[in-house]
Amino acid sequence: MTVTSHLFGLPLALILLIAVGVIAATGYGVARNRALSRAGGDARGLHSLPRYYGSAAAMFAAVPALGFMVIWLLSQPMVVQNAVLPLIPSAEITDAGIQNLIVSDVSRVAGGLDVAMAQGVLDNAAITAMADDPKDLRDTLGALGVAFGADVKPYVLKAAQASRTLAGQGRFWMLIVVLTLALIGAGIGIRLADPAYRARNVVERGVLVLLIGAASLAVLTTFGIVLSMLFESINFFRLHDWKDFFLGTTWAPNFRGDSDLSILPLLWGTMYISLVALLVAVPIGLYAAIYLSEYAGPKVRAIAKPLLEILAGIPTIVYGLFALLTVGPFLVNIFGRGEAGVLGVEWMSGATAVLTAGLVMGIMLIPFVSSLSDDIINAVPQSLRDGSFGLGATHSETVRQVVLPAALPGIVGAILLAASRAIGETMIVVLGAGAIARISGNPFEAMTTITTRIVSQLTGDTDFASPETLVAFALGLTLFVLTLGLNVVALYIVRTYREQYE
Amino acid sequence: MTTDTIKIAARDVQVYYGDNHAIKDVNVDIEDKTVTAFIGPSGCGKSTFLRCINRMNDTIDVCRVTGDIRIDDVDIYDRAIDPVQLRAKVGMVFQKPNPFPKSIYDNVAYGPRIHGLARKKSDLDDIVERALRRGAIWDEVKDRLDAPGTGLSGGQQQRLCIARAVATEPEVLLMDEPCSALDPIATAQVEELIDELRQNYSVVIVTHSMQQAARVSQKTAFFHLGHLVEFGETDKIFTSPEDPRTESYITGRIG
Repeated sequence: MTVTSHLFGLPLALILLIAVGVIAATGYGVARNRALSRAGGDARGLHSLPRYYGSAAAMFAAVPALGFMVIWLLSQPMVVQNAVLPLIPSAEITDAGIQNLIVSDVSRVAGGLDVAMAQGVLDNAAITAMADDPKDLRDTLGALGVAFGADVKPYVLKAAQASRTLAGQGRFWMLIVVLTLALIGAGIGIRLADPAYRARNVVERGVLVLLIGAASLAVLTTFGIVLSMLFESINFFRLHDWKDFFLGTTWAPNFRGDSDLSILPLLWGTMYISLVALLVAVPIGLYAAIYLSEYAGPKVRAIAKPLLEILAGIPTIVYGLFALLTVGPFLVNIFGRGEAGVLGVEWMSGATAVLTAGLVMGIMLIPFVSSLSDDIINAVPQSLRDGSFGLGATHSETVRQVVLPAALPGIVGAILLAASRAIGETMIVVLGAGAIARISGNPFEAMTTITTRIVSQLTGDTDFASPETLVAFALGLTLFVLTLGLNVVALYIVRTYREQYE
Repeated sequence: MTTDTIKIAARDVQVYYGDNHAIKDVNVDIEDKTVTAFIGPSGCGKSTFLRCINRMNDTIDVCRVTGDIRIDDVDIYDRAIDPVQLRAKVGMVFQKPNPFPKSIYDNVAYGPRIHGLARKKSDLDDIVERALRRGAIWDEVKDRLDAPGTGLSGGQQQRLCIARAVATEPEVLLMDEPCSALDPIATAQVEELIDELRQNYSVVIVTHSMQQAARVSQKTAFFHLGHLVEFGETDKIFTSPEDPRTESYITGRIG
């Protein structure tokens, strides 16, 4: 038996989903009523509320069936692909890249044939007829929007047909198994619906599993990201000397090969720009937080805090434009242009510079620092302020000598979090910092950062077998380790040195 | 043991929290070198009135104080009076021990440093030692003055806070339920301390414990619903109160 991928114009998966939903809903109603009737119609005789019996039955019906369906849908293409691989003449497979191309051709032809069958352009007889000479197939499928670069070869059509048959059989068995699982689950749920059955606890455990699943999905995704970065980085280090990457001092990628790919100039640029950004953001953000939490009246606070937080909502690309078009020329006007400039000096030649990017990034970080610090300062108990006022301290003495020391660990944590954001920031430096990799102490010079180089190495034509492209992953991994380290240290400081107030 | 010098004189004091009239027409004369206890049910305004004496209510935006409070015949709500200076003269100990997150030494040295009471490090050391001795905690902490004040036990923290208040050499010491967070042993230590402090200061203590008021104070004021109902010798208040409300409260019928 085979089943096509669409029934009644709906995708099979959707139909199955609806069917399982119907079974679960029926299970809910039947189990609920059965439990109630076995308790003599009195809900007080039940261990759990009637709806818990229904929910347990629905859960038994839906969860295993849908879980099985998801796994089947994910694994079926891989299984089918491996099964049709022997149909491709081994002479055609010259290397792994060609094999991938042929396999993707096969699946595209299979998909195209499905479309053609569904629209009635072709039928099984017509396909069988052209099995030895499928030249017309390219035009036929092209008319349906499935374009091919070359004529479809007979073995591709053969493999495509085989894979269609296999997929159809697979869908048939999936349909049977999923529906059986749903019915068995519903049956078990209904049979268990007895007044003594602890349905409430079972549903509770189901909810727990759901929550654990959500939490582990987030963690697993992180692992997945790290692993994919790690594998590509390993590929990079196979092609490029790690000593040159970590210890060399030149960044000069060259797509004809033989590039100097060293992280140090980029790391320097990243750190320098981040430092400038923090020098801007930390004092302003912290003072703003002190004003807002300690001095501002409720009215000022109600207006100023949202205004400050608007800054946090501005997309970073807009900050980048601001850096490029406003701050950069403004700084050039002050520090550049020789006699025509404000200071009459010739320090700055272009709008893109460490100072430009650092200043704008600092502005971006102000609300970040201030809102975190504001929360932390507000968490310092009022009793400490009262104690200080009661000893005859002024407001600013209280803030400096009691509130800030008490809030310090949290503020340090906030600054480190801001630093890790500065290090990972991309758009502002793409537009504001320039593209020249160099190690220099002059803030008026253009420099570049790790993030901007990742962007430039991965945009345009890329060849994922060359070190010039793969270096992006090594850079990304280094960046990740760097910011992860900062975050860990920040959290450690916050946890270890935080005074415990009741 | 009481002298007749009036330290604090309050006339027609009214306190409003927004629209809420919290203290109504309070008139009271508090004597020097005396422990005066404020008793009354929760929300009766005794803590509020206490906080008027060192203008701690100024830190609350919606709070408004009218009337006249004089310390040594100087109106403390006069424009010429800096509340910060006033609080150096009128120390305060709070309900919950609130040591600063600093070392024991720095906690006590906080006030003296702010007010420039010590010129040399050795002077400051003396002030700290004297204050800790008066706070009856010197022997327990003399070997660990650099340890954080927050690491002490509750009773020790409260005595540290008293030492901290004493270190600025105040003339009046206000105590807002200083023993409510302490166990009976720590309470006994603090009460003993209050009795000693009476030699040098005018002490005003707010308390919920009538036994405590009877033990430590010479004068007692009973507050009810914002009114000062009765004020007089502690013995008299507890043995033969004039007002029926006072009698109801001390016998446990209202409150």
